[in-house]
Amino acid sequence: MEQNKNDQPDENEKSDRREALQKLGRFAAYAAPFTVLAMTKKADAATGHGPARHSAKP
Amino acid sequence: MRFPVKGCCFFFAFLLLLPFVASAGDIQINGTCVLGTCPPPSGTSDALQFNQSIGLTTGSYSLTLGTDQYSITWSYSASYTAAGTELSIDPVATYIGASPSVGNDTIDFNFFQNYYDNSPGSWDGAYTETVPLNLSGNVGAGSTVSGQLFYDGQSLPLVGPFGPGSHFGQYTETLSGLTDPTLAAEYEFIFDFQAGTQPGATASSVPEPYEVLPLGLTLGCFVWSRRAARRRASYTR
Repeated sequence: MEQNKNDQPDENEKSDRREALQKLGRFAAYAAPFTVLAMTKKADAATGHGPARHSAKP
Repeated sequence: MRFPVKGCCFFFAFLLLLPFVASAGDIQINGTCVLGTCPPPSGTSDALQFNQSIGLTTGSYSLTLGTDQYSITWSYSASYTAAGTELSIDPVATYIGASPSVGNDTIDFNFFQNYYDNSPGSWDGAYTETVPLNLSGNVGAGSTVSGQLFYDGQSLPLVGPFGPGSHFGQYTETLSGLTDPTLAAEYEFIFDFQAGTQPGATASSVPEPYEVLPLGLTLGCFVWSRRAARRRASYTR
């Protein structure tokens, strides 16, 4: 069945979509390193830190 | 025959690194020692000494309380260097029953790590605990999670108990009287699952939403862009 031409987006709408997609692509590219960073934060878990054994100050 | 220089280098590097790797870390769950000796004995046999470390070590245990079944996993690491003593523990308890839990189940998870140094002086000083806690999934009403660190029986403040969601606590305390060559660290977590907890509910010390959110966002963007590209392709046909 042939699709009605009126249902198809015009050129302006298409270029808007293309622009939005490009922005989205850029966002995904920027978000990827943060995602990796967030994943590596898992290694943090619960931690405890204390001093090394040391002599008392005179 | 040629001498395998490269292979020998790796072998000697391995030998050099051996003194810096030690095995320790002991785990007790609801009074049962599931790893090592609980609590570990004083002395060098089950302790990290200067310039020793334990790499990331993982394990798991199945716990049944009445008819309720839980899967408990953990990963830990520890070190003792000139910068001080350090330990990291990530316990995760997941309810794995086929139907909602029946009892009010308390899981007491204890991680022990000893340090040994017989040089003059003491271990006195500032100690810091950093405790992210997470209770996720459909847990029974009143379920909580908490964590607390002890050194030679002296406690840092209790973090929690908290209800569902992600939480975080960090405290520093100055401890004194730590003169024995052995310094005994104990990290205790209490996971309290109340009756009615649904399968898959999890208590842990991992800030899960922080990890899942960016990953979900990125995946969502990827899926959305693929669908948009397919839609665009169908328009241009």
